[in-house]
Parts: sequence; structure tokens; C-alpha cells
Amino acid sequence: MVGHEPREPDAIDEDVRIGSERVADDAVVVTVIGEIDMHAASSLRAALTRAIDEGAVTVVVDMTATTFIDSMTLSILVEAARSAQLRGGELRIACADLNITRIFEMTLLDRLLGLYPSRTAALEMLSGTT
Amino acid sequence: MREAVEFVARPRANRAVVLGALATVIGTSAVSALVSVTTLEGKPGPAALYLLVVMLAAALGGVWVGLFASIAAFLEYRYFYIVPTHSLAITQSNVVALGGFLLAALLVSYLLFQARRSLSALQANRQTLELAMQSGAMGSWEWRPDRNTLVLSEGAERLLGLEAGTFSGGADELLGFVHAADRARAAAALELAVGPDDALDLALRFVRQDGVGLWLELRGRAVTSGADELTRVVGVLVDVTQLQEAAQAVRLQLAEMAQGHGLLSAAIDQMPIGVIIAEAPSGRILLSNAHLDSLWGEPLHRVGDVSEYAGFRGFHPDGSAYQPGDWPLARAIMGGESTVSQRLEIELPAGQRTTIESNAAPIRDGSGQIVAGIMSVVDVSDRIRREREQQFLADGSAILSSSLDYEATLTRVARLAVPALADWCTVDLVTDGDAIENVAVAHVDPEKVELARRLRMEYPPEPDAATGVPAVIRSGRSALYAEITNDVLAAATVDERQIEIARELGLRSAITAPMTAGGRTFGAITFVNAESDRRYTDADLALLEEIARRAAVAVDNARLYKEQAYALNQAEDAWAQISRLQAVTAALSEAITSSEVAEVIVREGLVAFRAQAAAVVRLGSGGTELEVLASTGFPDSVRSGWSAYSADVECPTAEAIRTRRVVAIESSEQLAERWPHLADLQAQTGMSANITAPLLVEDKAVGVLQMSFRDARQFDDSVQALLATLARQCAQALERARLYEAEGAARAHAERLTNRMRRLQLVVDAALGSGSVDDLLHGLLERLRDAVGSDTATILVLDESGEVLRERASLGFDKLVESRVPLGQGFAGRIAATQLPAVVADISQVDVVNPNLRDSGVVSLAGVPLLVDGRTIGVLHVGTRGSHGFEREDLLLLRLAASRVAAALERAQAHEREHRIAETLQRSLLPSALPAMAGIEAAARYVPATSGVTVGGDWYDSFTLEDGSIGIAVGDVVGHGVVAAATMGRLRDVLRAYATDGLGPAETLARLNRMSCREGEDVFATLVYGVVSPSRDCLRMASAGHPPPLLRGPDGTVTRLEGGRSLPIGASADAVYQEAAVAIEAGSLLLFYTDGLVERRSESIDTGIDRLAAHIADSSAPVADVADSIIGTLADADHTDDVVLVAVAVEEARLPRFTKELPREPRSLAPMRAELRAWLESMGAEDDEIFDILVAVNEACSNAIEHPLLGPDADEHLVVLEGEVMRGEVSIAVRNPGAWKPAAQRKNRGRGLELMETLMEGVEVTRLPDETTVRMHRRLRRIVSVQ
Repeated sequence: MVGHEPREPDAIDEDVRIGSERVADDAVVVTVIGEIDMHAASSLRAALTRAIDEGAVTVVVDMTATTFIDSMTLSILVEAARSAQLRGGELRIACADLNITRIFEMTLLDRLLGLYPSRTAALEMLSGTT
Repeated sequence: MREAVEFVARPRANRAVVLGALATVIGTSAVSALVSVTTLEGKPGPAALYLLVVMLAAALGGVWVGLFASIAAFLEYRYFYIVPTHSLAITQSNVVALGGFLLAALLVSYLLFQARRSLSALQANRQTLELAMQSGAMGSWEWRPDRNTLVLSEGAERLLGLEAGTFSGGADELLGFVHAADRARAAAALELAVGPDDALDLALRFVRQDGVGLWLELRGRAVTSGADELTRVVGVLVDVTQLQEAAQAVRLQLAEMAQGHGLLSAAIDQMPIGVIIAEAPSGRILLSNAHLDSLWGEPLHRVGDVSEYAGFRGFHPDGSAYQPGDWPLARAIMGGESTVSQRLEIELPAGQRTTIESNAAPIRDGSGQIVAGIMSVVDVSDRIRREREQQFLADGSAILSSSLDYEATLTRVARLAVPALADWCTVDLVTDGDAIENVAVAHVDPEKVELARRLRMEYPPEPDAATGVPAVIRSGRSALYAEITNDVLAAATVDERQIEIARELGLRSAITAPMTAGGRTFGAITFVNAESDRRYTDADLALLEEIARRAAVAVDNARLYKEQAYALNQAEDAWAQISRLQAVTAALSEAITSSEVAEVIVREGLVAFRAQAAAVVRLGSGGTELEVLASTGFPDSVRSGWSAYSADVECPTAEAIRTRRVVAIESSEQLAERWPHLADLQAQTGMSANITAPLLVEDKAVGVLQMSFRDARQFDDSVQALLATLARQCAQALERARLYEAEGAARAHAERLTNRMRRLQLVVDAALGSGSVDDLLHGLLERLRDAVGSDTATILVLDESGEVLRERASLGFDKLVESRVPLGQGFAGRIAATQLPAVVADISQVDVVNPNLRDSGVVSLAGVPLLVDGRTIGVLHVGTRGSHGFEREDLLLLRLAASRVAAALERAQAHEREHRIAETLQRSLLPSALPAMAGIEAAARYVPATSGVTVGGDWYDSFTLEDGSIGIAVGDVVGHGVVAAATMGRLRDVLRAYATDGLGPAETLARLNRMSCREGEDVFATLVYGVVSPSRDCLRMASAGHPPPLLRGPDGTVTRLEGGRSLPIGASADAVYQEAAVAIEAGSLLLFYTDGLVERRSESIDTGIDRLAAHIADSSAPVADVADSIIGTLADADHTDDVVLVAVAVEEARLPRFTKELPREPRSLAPMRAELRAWLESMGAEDDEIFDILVAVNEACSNAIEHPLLGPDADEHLVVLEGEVMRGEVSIAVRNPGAWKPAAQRKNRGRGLELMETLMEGVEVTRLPDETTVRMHRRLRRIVSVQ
């Protein structure tokens, strides 16, 4: 296993940043800050792909600081969740924003992706199961 | 009783019987003797002697002795006198001889016995008579018929219960004592007694004076004195009451006597009824006859006791067994009861029952003691059966006649037959297809009915079967299968299974009768007996035939009725059509012409008759020609060739007119036979049959109505009647139309005459009216031309030089060449010079200067000078192309017109001058265009009056005030022409001056009024002045007697703004002007106008205002269009006044819109969202709403940016966003200009559209070749109003 250094989120714009952090041997938290749209989509996809490729069984997408998503964001998350599942892992989403949560609910993705109210909650469950 | 009385009361007659009997015996004996003698080979012998011996023996010794003597005498005779004993053979002659002896002996002994009995009875009677006489029960009487006096002896009076010597009177009084029942007989006897040879002798019931009844014998004889002259009848009255009683006893004695001799028994035995006599009180059967035994089917035991009557096996009608005491015989013996016609059933040895009727009576001896009882019995089963059959026939007939639904009635009849007459009853009918259909099956057991139906379905009858129903139907003869044997079954069935089923049904006996009516057999009724084991006989068959006959008649009737009903229906259909036609005809009001009437009749008739062609032909007024008014369905060649033809042509139409009857041609053959020359025509029309009815008006044929049919057909009475009715309708309508047309023609003529005068008047009216001179003159010429009936009309006016006539107005020329006619030259020139009217019949005969006249083919001319104050100002002339010329009347008319035309022309020219000045002035004073005003869109229209010279007076003005208010003034100065226009101009200027000084509407008007009054000028004007506030939400207004402005709110409601009204300007110097404030909403329309817009002749101004209000209520068009459409409504109205209209639309304020142009790169999305968010927040959208809308818009934009475009500068195209909020709904359009590459859809975007649709309330994507637009909208929770 190649080590995964915790690092500051990449700055895509002044207001949008995406970073990932290995919190356990097999768990990575991808932090998404700001508005995720078409512009930020490729960064998000890259971060998730890397996390899964690097062997993270559990990938937590921390969207507690995310203020906007679009349909492409949803597609990337679904793609990543499938990819994680194929490798025996799972994708969890920590999201507190009611508007974003509503988008997940409207598109019925809340049933496909594990939604947690906070990063801590997502990780607690992780430690609980490991 | 009476017979018995007479028998006993007539000893003489009795004796005669005895003597007669003896004579008969002797005679018979003599014959017998002779027979004997001749039979014995002609040898005379002592046969008569022997016979005498025998008779004596019988007479003296009775029957048995006589018998013995006979046999002895016979043997002796044969032995001793004829042949040796050995030859004594039993031959016929011997038997006859012996029979003769025996018979004689029997008769002699019987008659002697009779005589002896009678004699002994007579003896008794005599004794009684003697007793009667001794007791004084006798009297004498004498009757004189000629005087009708009757004298009774004392004894006779005593018999009648009268005191001696009290009877007086004639035969009638005596008859009064006779019992009513015997009186007629007594009277008749008395009548007869008058005859010389007739003795009176009869026993009568009398009623004594004291009411006691008694039997009296009335005897008498006519006594004549002189030669055949009747004088009186004398006789006796004898009380024979006791004799009568004695007779009773005698009768009983006789009965006993007869029984004793076996005579009664023998007689009874021969009786055709069953008789049984039993002894009382034991009930021992004394006697019963052979018929009785046959009734019971076996000899009845001679029972010895009533209790043994149980063996008679009787049953009550309710089925319960007869108790011994129930038997009528028992009741007669024991209770003395008489029974008459009591019905009961008896059981026969085989177990069946039969119905008998019994009579029983007691037999009493002289003392009234019941000594025996007699019962007679008749088998009434036949009668019952007949009764039942009659009942069946009656009921069946009733059922058959109860309904026309014969299948139902036949079923009921079949049910009626079972089980009384048959176990099964079936009815079969021949259907249209010659199949035999079973319409009814009846059996008491529904399951069996079902079985029979199934069997019937499985084995339908063969129409040509040799037996059974088919055979009966075929032959029309009934069939009787008394015994259905296996052979019969085999013949009637097709296979073993059918036989099996038939056997299961246990069919025993059957009869089938044909249903025949009108010589046609169309069905059969069948009775079958199965379980009841009855056998049918010819009698049953007769019954069945009868019911079948009745059923056949009923069915036949029903069928006929149905056919008739069908025909009736058909007729009713037709009548319905007729009613329709009547309605149509009625609708043909007077305004409908003959040909229109004919068209309608033809069209409707075609439908009513389902005909293929129809025509209405009218007889011309000359009566010689037929004219087709309307036709349909015929080929064009026929129509054109036969549009009119001579009434002499031999054809159905001509014949219908000639004979005034319906002519029916039912086939081509029929036509060819009657009118061979029409065969070709018939072939052309393609019709085979037709029916033609005359159109009669007051019994005169004025035309015909004809219906034609492609196929040959029969025209029954109903069709003919229908056609006749239609023809009547048609004739009436045509007559009406003809009258109307005639009346119309007459009226037209009358109208033409009066119109000439009226038109003249119109010429004058036109001259006095107002309008442009050209229009006026044109109108004048039109009317003049109409009035005189010319083709052309021309007005020439002498120009200013006074030397040349110039054409000022003309009509009726194809083309016009500028024509100048020098004074004194040509037709018009001469008229102008001479000032005299002129008429030219043919202009080729004179010189004519005006080339237009010749060029347009004018032949005749008439002209008059136009004179004003004796001076010629022009010439008026009219021309015709035809050569009918002009009459004196026309010339007069022309002169009359000319004088008016001249005056009008003179005046009109003056008016025209002024009108031109006024209009110019007015237009120059009115603003050429309204200034642009913020928040207001306004349009003004000024329309001068279309006629007359009333220009001037109406005005409007509009201006923006310093504070942003907008002033609008509309006014109408009373008066016309230049002066009014000038006043208007001054008012306008002054108003604007006051208004711009900042005065309010009321104050402005007040000052205007004061100024107008102070000037002392003749100013009188109405006006309305309004000021729309800078915020455009309020109108302040004041009105000086002006019609109310209208306000249409945004919801379309229109209000009259009646507030702030005061007196017109110039009305009063003291007038006080008021002001009204009206709130106006965005989207409202204000309408200011002058009365010319809403005033029309013969209509109140209110109506005009309402019409205007209605006109603008629904209009949502831009204000200029509204103004134009309002003015448009004036176009067809002859408005004689100026019209001013100012329409002011208060614009709907809008919320700030959102617009954004987006470079085609993802980087631009975030700033766009930030701007959109800010705008949405300003629109009052809440956070979640904003988020949803942002996501949706972002998707649309992402889609646009992502989508590759065609072309080199594709990336130059910007994505355009436009957003607005209207009435609380946000709508955003994302336009993506540029032609798309036909690229494949990217997978992520599918979810994009889905998101948009989820988040917004409506998403609409419009794809054009060079632009794709996504429009979406969503209501916001909060509605933000404009501020």
C-alpha cells in the first residue's frame, strides 16, 4: 500500500476546495468545500477515484461544507459508490445541508448512498464496525 | 201424476184398451194360424182349432197353462196330422210355428192379466164413485155459451164451498175456481165442448171458496135443440180427490205387479241407463240392470245391506272414497231423500276411474211408507270429456284471440291441452325458410319439456319425412297414431338413439292436425299421450283438428295483422315525413317563390318516398305548356330536354293533369304498354316506376308532383294517399307562392311609381343635407337617375368665365373624357344658352359636343338648365342607351330636380369652401401627435364628420406637467365651422396655460369658464379635463357637461367616470366646478371622447356609451389598436358629427428582470449563480426556493455550455439567461444560440433534465435549428409587488 499523505484540499477556486485525508488504513475522507458544479467535477472525480484506487475500503465524502451540487456531482458520487462496492468497500456521505440533502432525496440517491449528518457520524460508524 | 189421474179416471178408455188388445191378439193369432197353415205345405188342417184351444187355455189358465197348451198342441199337431214323428226335425218353419204359438200365448196371457187388473181397479173406482155420490160429492151444471150464463146445482155449489144459490156468472166465474195451473186446460176443454161431438171429461184441481184444494171431475156434453143449433152444455162436477189418492196406490201396485211378473225387470234391463232398486230399509238390492253392470265394468254383487255399498267403489270429486251412507240410494232408502244429478267417480276393475251421474228417489207405498229406493246412473265421462273439449276449445279460442303474439298464445294453448287432453302437446310452424320450427312444447313436467326440446334440436324434423308433423304439414291432412308401435317409432326416427329416447318418453298414442288457413298449411298441432295410457280416437282427432283450425286462423290473422301493422308503420313513417313536409311548407313563408317551394317539395319528397328522382311540374298560365319547376335525380340530358314541354305530349304528367288523378306506372313494361314512345326517355332516366299526382288548386290541376323509382315497385293505397297529401301541400304552397309573386309584382309596380316621387324628395333631402359637394352631387345624380330611369346623368357647371360648361359630376359612363362645352353649342350648350329644356330622341340626328355621350352609346337625351335667380349656372341632363326616349313626365321631374340641384349646388359650393377652411384650421390646432409620456401609452383620433360641413368644435390636448403628471383634455365647442374652430383653438390654449401653471382640473375649468363668460363671447363648450398622477395610480378630473370618460380596469370591468361634473363652459359665470379623484390600476385604460362617438340618430347617448363600454371591455390590444377599432365601428354608421377619441393606457409596471449573458465555459457558472441568487432574493424568494432554482438553472446552463456547437466561431456565442417574476411566478429562459452539433447525449445530462423537472413546476425545451431554449417556471411562496 502506498501511503496516503493527509493534505490540504486542492484549491479549485477561491471558494471551492477538494481534499482527501486517510483516517485509517482502509478509510479515506474526501472533503468537499464550496459549490461543486461542472467546473469542480473533474477534481471531485479524481479525488474519489484516487481514494478507491489506493485501496480505501471506506470512503467518506465530507460534504458538510458543500454549498452546491449539480447533477454531475450526483453522477460522480454514484459512480464512486458502485466502484467502491465492486471492491468490497463503501462510500459514505456526510452532509448537513438541508438543500443538498433534499436533492439526494429527490433523486432517490439517499437510498443508494449512505448519508450521515456529520463527518464524525460517518467515521464513528466506521470505527464501530472495524 | 196427471197421466195417472186420467188413466184411472177413464174406465171407458181402459175398456177400449182391453178390447183393442183382445182384437190384436185375435188378429195376430189368425195371422199366426195362417202362417202355420201355409207353412205346413199348404195342407188345410185343424190348425185353427188347435190355436183356439191354446188361446182358450191361455185365457183361462194364464201364461203357464197357455204355454203348456201351445207346446202340447204343437207336438200333437205335428205328430198326428203332418208327418211321422221321426221326421220331426228342428227346421225353420217348425221354430216359426212354435214361436207363433208361444208368442200368442204370452200376449194373450199378459193382456188378459192387464185387463183383469184394470177391471178390478175400475171396480174400486166405481165403489168410490158410489161413495162420492152418496156423500153428495157431486153436482150438476148447465152452461149457455151464447149468453155465457152458467147455472150450478146446489151440490155443485157445495163442492165449490159456496152457499146454495150464491153462484152467478158465466164460464169465467167457474174457471175462477180452477187452480191456476189447470185453468188454461179447463178453458180449452170448455171451448171444445161446444162442438156437438165432443164430450167434456177431465179432472181438474179446484180451489174452494175457503181455500181448500180438491180434485173435481168436470164432465159435460153439448145439448142441441133444433137443427145443429147449440143451446147449452150440461154436465156434472164430481169430487175425485179420493180417487186421485187411490191412483197413487194403484201406481205402486202396478210397480209391484210388474216386478212380480219380471216385466219391469225386463223393461229396466233394456233401459240405456243403469238402474238399481233396493229394498227399504235394509238396502237389499232388489234389482239392477245390465247397463249398470257395464258401467261398473263387472256385475255388481246383489248386496243385502247398505253397509255393503262400499263395494260400489265410489269417490267424491275431491278424491275421497264414498262411505256407504253417502250413496244417493242409501240416502233415498234411509232418509227419503231425492237426489238429482249427483256426480261421482267410480273405479273400474282396471283401476281407472270414470265419472257417473246418479239420480235417486225413495219409493213409498200408499201410506207414505218408504218401501224401496231407486237409483239411476248414467256414465257422464263422455259428456265430461265433451264438456272439457268444448271448454278447451273455448279457452283456446279465447287465448288465441287474446294476443297477436301467436307464438306466446300457441304456447299457452299447448299448456292448456295438458294434461286434460294430452300428456304432450307440441305446436310446429313452417318458418320463412320452409324449415319446421317448434314453437311450443307443453308437458306438466318442465324437465320433460327440456328433454323434448333437446331431442328436437338434436333431431330437427325433416320437411320431407314420410310420417309425423312434416307429412301432416305437407299433405294438410291430419294423422292418428292410435297406438305408437315400434314400427311407427322406427318410421319416424333416424337412429337407435332417437328411438331409445322416444321409448324413454313412453309415447303411446298421438294425433297431429294441420294448421291450415287461407288454403295454406303452415303448421301442425300434435297431442301425444304417454304416461296416462290413453288412446286417441277419431273423436279426439276431430277436436284437435278444430283447435288446429282455430289456431291457424289466429296465427294467420296475427300474421296478417303484423303485415298490416307493418304497412301501417310504413304509412306512419310516411306521415311523419309528411308532417315534416307540412312544417317545411309552413315555413315557406310568403317570401318563398314557386321554384323555392318546388325545390323543397322535391327534396323532401325524395326522402319521404325513398324515391330516386322527383319533379314538380307546373302548368303554364296558358294551360298549354308544362314547366318543370324543380327536379332532382334525373340526368342532365333529361332535365335540359324536358325543362318545358307541351301539355299535349302523351305522358304520365300530362295525363295526371288531364284526369286530375294519380297516375302510377309500376314498371317499365307498364309504361311501354301505355306510352311506347316514352321508352327511350325512360331508358335515359334510368327509372322503372313512377307515380304522378296532380297538384290541385280549387279542383283545377295546376301541375303535378312526380316521384320516380329506379326499380319496379307497387304503389299501394298508402303510397298513393301519401303522394296525394304531399301534392296537396305542394299545391297549396305553390298557390301561395304564386299569389305572393303576383302580389309582389303589383306592389313593385306601385312602388316604382311612388318611388319616383320619393326619390325626388330624396334629391331635395340630399341637397339640404351636408357633405362634400362632390359627394352631394354624386348622390343627387344617382337618385335622379333612379327616379327617371335613365342610364346616364350629368351635371355641367358654367365656369367662372361664364362661357364654358364643365362637367362637374356624371354617372353611367364607361370612361370619362374631360369635356368642355361652349355655351350655345351642342346639346348642353344650347340648353344653357336658351335656358330651355330639351329632349333628343336620337342624338345621331343632332350635334353633340360631349364625346362621352356618343362613346357610351347614349341614344336619347333630356336636359334642363340649372338656374339660380334666373341666371344659368349649369345644365343637368340624363340619357338612355335604349331608344325608349323620355316622356313629358320625365322632363317635369328633371326640371323639378334641377331647381333643387341648382340651389343645393350653390349652397354646397359655399359650404365646401367653409368646410375646407374649418378642417384645415382644426387640424392645425389639434396636436399632430401625442407626446411620449412615461408610464402612459396614449393614442388620439380625430375624425371629421362624414357628411355636411359641420367641421369644427371637437378638440383634444394632452401634455406632461412639471411634476410628471399628465394632463388630458377633450372638448366640444358648440357651433361649427371656422368660428367654432377658432373658439376651440383659444380654449385649448387657455386650458393648457392654466394647467401648466399647476392648477387642478376643477380650478382650470372654473377659470376657463370665467374667462369665456367675461369675454362676453358666444362661447358654449363642453369639456373634460383629467390629470393622471405621476405615480399613474390616480386620476383627478373635472367635467364641464361633457360625456363621462370610461375607465376599463385591468380585470376588464368598465366604469363611467361620472364624478366632477358641472355646467358646460360658457353656460353660467357663476358655475362651480368640482373635481373627482379616481384610483387607477396598472393595466387600466382611460377613454376620453366627444359625443360624436356615442351619439347616433334614433338612439339615446346611454346606449352609445354602453356600446362603447362593451367594445373596450374585452379588448386587450395595444392602445392604438383599441383606438382604431373604436373608430372602425363608426365606418358603417353615418356619423354627422366630428369625433374625438383619446385612449390612455396606464402601463403595467414590471418588476426588475434578470438578464445575463454567459460565456460558454464552466467557470462562468458560479458568478451566474451568485447574480441569480441576488436577483431571486430581491424577488422575495426564500432560501430553499433559491437553491432549487439555482440547481435547475445551473443544469440548463451546464447543458448549454457543454453542448458543442457547429461553426468556426461557435464559442463566441453566449448563453443568454432571462428571468422575470410576474404575479408571483418566476420564469427563467436559458437560450443557447447557435447550431448544435448532432452529438450524442452525454449520460450525465439525462439526470439534469430530470432534476430540472423535479425542482421547477414547468420545464419546456424548444429546439430550433439555430437555437435551443429551455424555459422553466415556478411559483414563489411570497408575492412581491412593485414599488
